[in-house]
Amino acid sequence: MVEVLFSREVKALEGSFETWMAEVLRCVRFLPDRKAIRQELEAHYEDHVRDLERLGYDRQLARKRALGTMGDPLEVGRALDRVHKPWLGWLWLASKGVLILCVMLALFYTAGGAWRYQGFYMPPDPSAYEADGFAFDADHASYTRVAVSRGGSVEVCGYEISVPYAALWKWADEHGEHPYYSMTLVLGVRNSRFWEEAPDPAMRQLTLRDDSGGFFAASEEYYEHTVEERSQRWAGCVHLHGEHSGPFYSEYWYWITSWEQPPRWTELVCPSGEGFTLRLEWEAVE
Amino acid sequence: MRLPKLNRTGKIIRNMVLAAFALFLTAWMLDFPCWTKTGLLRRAERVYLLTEEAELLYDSCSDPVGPDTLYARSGEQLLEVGYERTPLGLRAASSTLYPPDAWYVLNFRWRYRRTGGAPQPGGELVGLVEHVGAAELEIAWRLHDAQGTLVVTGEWQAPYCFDFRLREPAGGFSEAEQRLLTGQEVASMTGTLRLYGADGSLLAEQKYPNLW
Repeated sequence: MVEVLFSREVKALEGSFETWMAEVLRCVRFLPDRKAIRQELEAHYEDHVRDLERLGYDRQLARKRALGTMGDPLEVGRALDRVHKPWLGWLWLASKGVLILCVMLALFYTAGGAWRYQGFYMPPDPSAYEADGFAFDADHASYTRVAVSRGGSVEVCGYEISVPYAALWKWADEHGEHPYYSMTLVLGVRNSRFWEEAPDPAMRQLTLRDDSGGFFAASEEYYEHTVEERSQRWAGCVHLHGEHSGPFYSEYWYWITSWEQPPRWTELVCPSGEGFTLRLEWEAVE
Repeated sequence: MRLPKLNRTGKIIRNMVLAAFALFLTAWMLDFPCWTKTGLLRRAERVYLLTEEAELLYDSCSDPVGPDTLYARSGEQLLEVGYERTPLGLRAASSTLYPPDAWYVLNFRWRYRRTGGAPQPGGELVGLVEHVGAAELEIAWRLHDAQGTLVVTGEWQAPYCFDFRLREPAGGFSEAEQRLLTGQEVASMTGTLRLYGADGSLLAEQKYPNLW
């Protein structure tokens, strides 16, 4: 009988704590925070009850005292509402949603597109161009570098196009006979608009002319014709050998062949749109 | 290392900074999409080093056949920019600058998109065709056991565009034509485009060796 009465009294006290809690939570306008506030206040209340029980209070009295120290529910509720501002709470929830959405988008497209990016391509040190084995350079015993040129630069449509490296190569067979000359050329394109691509289609249309009147076609056009037509119309072609792209700098590597005599100068001509011309004066090297 | 505990304002700022970073990464992977079609044209102009502002002639986005494509002219040259829609805007998929002597472009496709049902081959002729009175495309097809001809008449669509749609004739398509249309067999198809002036005179005739 005593146990039943005790249990009822405790339930009544718990009921009054629930009423206190309901009044507090009613003051908090940001609904999503109510659960966390409830958990925190309950934990605080239970801790206090346990402390009092440890001091020798019986359970019923401990709960009564603990509830008494929790304060006026309206005052506590208003104070909590000031801390848990609804507009700040909703903004925080919205920012979480936006972040989840953006991260999912990034994961989806990064997984799909990352293979296209193999790092930032930065202009190499000038000496790297002349080192043996650079890129497609004629790193072969049959080739000898006979001239180099560093052309100027030209600015067109916001791109700065320059010639960081150009070399003329002499090829001869094992007896030193049947020589011919080829050219390796690197064009660098600087672009301050990192979000835009390099003028790739235009760079594929480069042609070249030399001091002896020879004309070298863009490879796309050149290979559309038969061997006979090519030899009749052009001295050779400007072959785009490779390219490296980065957000601010891209490089295009060309291989141009061939001459029987080394040219004194050559002129690169881009016929696309406004186009540009870059003149290369050749300096002999030992 | 323990990260500092942030209050709600701090968490909002952190979330927005991370979201902006994720968006930047996404935009980068998508080649920084343009927000408008004009932006797409401006970019295409620059990669071809064009200085004359391109004027939009036709946008095939409402066309159920083929990819979305912008057709424009810059000076005397036609510029074609294929694009796709992404969550962050329009992304250029391809671009072509036609030589100055090309005053029209025919894009005819033997496939369809978006809607289901029977394949509906079609396409468009876009260019400086204001003076063209009529356009027709004659398609000579050949399957392993049959051959024939289909004539598609261009419908005036916009000042710079003729729309080509293969429509079912009154008597329906023959069995061989059905096979051709459903793509059950790879056909050999050649096309002949004829453009007529307002007085019925032939302005241009061009053959397309492979329309498949």
